[in-house]
Amino acid sequence: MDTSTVSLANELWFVPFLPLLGALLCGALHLAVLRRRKAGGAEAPLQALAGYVACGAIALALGIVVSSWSTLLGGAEAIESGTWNWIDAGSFDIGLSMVFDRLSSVMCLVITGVGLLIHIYSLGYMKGDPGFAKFFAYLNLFVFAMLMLVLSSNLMGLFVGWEGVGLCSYLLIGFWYEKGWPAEAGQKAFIVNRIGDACFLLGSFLLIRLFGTLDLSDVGASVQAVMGEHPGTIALAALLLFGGACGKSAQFPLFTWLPDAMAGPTPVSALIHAATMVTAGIYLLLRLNPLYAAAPSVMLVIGFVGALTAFIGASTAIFQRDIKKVLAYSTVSQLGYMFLGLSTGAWAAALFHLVTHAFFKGLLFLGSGSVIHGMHEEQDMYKMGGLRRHMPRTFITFVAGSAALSGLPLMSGFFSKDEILAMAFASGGLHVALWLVGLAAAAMTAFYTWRMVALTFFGKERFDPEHVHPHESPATMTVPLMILAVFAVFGGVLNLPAVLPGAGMLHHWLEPVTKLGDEILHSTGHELHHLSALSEWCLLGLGSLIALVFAHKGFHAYTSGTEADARARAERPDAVGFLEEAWRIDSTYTRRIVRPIKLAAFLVASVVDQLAIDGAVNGAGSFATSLAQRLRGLVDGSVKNYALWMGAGAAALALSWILI
Amino acid sequence: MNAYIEQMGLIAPELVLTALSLFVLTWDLLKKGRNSDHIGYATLVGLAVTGWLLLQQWGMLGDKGTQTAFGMVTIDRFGTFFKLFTVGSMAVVTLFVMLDKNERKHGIGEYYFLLIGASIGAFFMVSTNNLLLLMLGLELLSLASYSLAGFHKGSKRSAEAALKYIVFGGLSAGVMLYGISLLYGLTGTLDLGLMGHAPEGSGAVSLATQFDASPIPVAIAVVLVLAGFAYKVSVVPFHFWTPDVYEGAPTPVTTFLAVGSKAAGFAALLRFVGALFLTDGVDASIVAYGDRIGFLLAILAAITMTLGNLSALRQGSLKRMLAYSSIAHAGYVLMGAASMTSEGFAAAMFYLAAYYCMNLGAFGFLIYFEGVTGKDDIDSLKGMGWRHPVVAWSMVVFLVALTGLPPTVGFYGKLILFYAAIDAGLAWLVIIAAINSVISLFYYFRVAKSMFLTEPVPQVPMRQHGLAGILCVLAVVTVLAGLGAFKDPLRGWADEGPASLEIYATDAGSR
Repeated sequence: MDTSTVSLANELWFVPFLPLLGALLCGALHLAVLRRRKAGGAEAPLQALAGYVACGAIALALGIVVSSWSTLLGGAEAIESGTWNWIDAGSFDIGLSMVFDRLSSVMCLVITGVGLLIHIYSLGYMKGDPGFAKFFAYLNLFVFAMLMLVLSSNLMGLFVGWEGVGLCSYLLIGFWYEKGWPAEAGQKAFIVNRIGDACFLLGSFLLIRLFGTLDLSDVGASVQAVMGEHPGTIALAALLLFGGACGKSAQFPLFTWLPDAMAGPTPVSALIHAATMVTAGIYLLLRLNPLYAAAPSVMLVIGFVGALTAFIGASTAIFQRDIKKVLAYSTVSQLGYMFLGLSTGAWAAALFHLVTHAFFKGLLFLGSGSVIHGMHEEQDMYKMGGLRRHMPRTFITFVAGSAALSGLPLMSGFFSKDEILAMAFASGGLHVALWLVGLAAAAMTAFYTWRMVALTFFGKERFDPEHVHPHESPATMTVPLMILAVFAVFGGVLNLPAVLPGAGMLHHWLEPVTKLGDEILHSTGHELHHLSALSEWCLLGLGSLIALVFAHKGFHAYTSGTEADARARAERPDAVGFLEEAWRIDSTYTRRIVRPIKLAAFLVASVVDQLAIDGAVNGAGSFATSLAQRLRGLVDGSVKNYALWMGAGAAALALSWILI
Repeated sequence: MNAYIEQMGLIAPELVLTALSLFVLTWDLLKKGRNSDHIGYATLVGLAVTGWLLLQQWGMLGDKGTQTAFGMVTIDRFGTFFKLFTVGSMAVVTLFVMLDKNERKHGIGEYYFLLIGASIGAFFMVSTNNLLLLMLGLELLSLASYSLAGFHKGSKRSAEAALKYIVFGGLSAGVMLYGISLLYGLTGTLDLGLMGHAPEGSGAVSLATQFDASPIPVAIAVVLVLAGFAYKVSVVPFHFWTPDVYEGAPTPVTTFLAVGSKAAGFAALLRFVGALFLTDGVDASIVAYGDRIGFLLAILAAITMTLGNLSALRQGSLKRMLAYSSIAHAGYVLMGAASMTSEGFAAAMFYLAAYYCMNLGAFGFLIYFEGVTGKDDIDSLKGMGWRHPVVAWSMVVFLVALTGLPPTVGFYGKLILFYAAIDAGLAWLVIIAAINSVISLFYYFRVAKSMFLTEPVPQVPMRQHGLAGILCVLAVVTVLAGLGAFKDPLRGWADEGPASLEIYATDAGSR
């Protein structure tokens, strides 16, 4: 990077470490709470303090991010902190610094901005929970790890953050572990991610082999020099790292953990499983864009996986009863769009969708949390209905989020999704097929989104008014909703299509980061094709039409109640069941992979371990101890024996020295 | 005469230690064994002075060492590194003795005296190129250690440990002396520098030359001397005394044996191997036979770490488990020597520094835990994590470090060791070491599991704040060093040590 455009600023280290400090303080407060609870004292003040500490830490981090961002707006290409030399072993070293460039600035703004709103929301949502302080400790720790992930200058530092967010995800999914199933869901998320992380590690080993470094900018800069010589190795490394991204970003075939992860508290779903952590895979690919640009075959694989996941996710969301499951499958599907965008080399479009998705999906999750909160922990939409009268603020903001998700014209999601689909269409070849799949998924998205709105807020009240009294949530929860709703509606201006005035802001903003990737694409003839104004208008019109038609269909079919589902189930039980269970992928895994592994593990534990391993270990252990024990009190004998061993050892050494 | 007195300044740290030992002994006699804590403080002050002198010396010494006492004593950065190490471990062991509740009942003045005496032995052992003085230093260290091992005169286990230690120590000393006498006969010198590379007219024959003429006697002589060192650092198959002695000796003494004494043994081993074989391409024949000794050490390293770890797996007693774990770690350190490069030697030295933090910590935990429960079996650890969280979490840090996981210094030390070994073409040894690390994970984390995941058993609620504080500091150092906090001084020291050794070895001839 040119030094004249890079300014040094060590306060960048504070961005991740303020939340870490907050996490430590909240952890200490949690211990204090436990102690006071044992003593029978009032714990509420301590709990509240933990909440404020956590929010304060994120707010301060956001402050630094915004001020650094204004420096970038002033023309600097990147801000870099001093380097911390972590490992320095012979020819290999790992130096870590925080790099705030145009890509990580966008990620940091989303993480700290949306993160702060979700922290504030959690003040209301988690109120009265006995683990209140612990929750904020985990949440702050998560923000620390996520910021490490996006700010690290080195892939190893990124991996530390990558594992850190995985750990926090595990802790927060299983936050209510006493119930049993959240703990299992947490384990599932962790184990499925192991597969991805193993791929990630193998990929980074290949990068070390190829480039001798894990410094991200060095890797990016040397791709062009290496790609001619080792195209296969580059493709393999890119594929393996994409495998890691599949785990973290819940893509086919590793997406099965995300729906289960909804067992965690809803703010967790909003922050980790919609707005930030699950986008880490997209960030990774964006960061390594020169590597992927040099591996066109892998780009095609990414496109297929993305489109397939978008389709599976959207089709599964249609028949879900649990409001959070709808949103979970929708997240899986939207992440698929982002990967589809990446596969065409439309880096900015993927980031654009990442940002708008953080707004509207964060909003929808928080809104669903507000509904669940108001309905006394009810998540089944069949037992809702007519809630718009009881929770007007939640209702309006939720509709705004749904409009954005379903891509109704002029909403943020409309522009971002349209751009990805337009790029796929423009790329031609196989990508046109992927464009069609994406278009079908978009239709289903509009359908399930408005089905969800209708089932929740319209129609008859299907709950028992004797026992359930829906109520609007407190201001700590509704104010974040309103702020996010504004962004969800107007976020589209960040990157308007080329035919509109003020177009492509984010695209231009990101250019320094994607320059190398674009150059490589250009040199290999895979560069992005531009659409004519006419075809762009046509695609925008087609997108609007599909969204409106299917939104209308979904909304109308379900305002009257759940009969449409019942009818579908009666007519096509097999198909509905297939879709409901996410194409039965999870149960196939259980049958074909999990059970055989468990069986093999049982065999290994009961046969191999008991006989072979224990035998060897006991043998080796008793070899020394039996000698010692036999001779205890018989010092005479032990000396002879030990001396024999020592003599034999020395003789063997001398012999082998001469012979070899 | 004046020049001689000036040169005495070079052994000022040793002189201070000697004075300290006499002072401690006299004071104890005058005090008739009462109020022993004051003696402990005096020892700490004396050690601090020694440490300060050593640091001064480090600054004055260049890459090249200097000799005094007619070439008997060699002062170089390599030796100073290990002297600092010895003083550091002595200081922590002294604190352990002072804070160990079990030690209070015994007359304790001689305890400090013997510990200081052992350190003086270690000092001379690491600062000589002459096999005779090396042997004397080793014997001084050993004699003091024998008495320390049997310090609990009333305890049968302690007495048995001392007796075993003496018998095997005597045996290995005899073996080693025999080897030294053979070496003298073959080369006509006791100076390692001359032995490695004898110039014309020095009256000595270098060992490599002798090896070409008669390989079998050379091999036997070298192996016999190596066996003596291998005994000291408990390398398989010279390790049989280790578990019994470590278990029977008072725990602070075990700590000293496992950390201070072992490091001194490694210093002598590295110096011996370095002077004779690590000559970085001076002479093709030397390189050839140096490779052979490297390969032998690599095999010993592999056997030692594997047997140490496998034996540690099934130990019920934490003390015995740590004894076997220290055998396994001797195998890891030996990897550095086996790579036969100054990079590998530096890695071994750095790993010993890491070993210092994590093993002092683990043994300190053992002392704390024995103070609380009066037992040393892992099953009695149940619930420690909830009753003594600070100490237990510190122990978790040490266990993580002993396993070699980030973010601790144990990981970093292993990383450099593995790197050095791979650079030296010993990839197979690194694979074995990596597998061994995985095996060790199992028994180290059994301790953590017992502390945190099992229901507590009723125990005497007792707290030792001083000991807990030391453990906490050690744990913090272990993590910070793993994050690279003290990397520059530590790496610098470890890197410069072998450099001084190497230059000395090749230069000795031209003197």
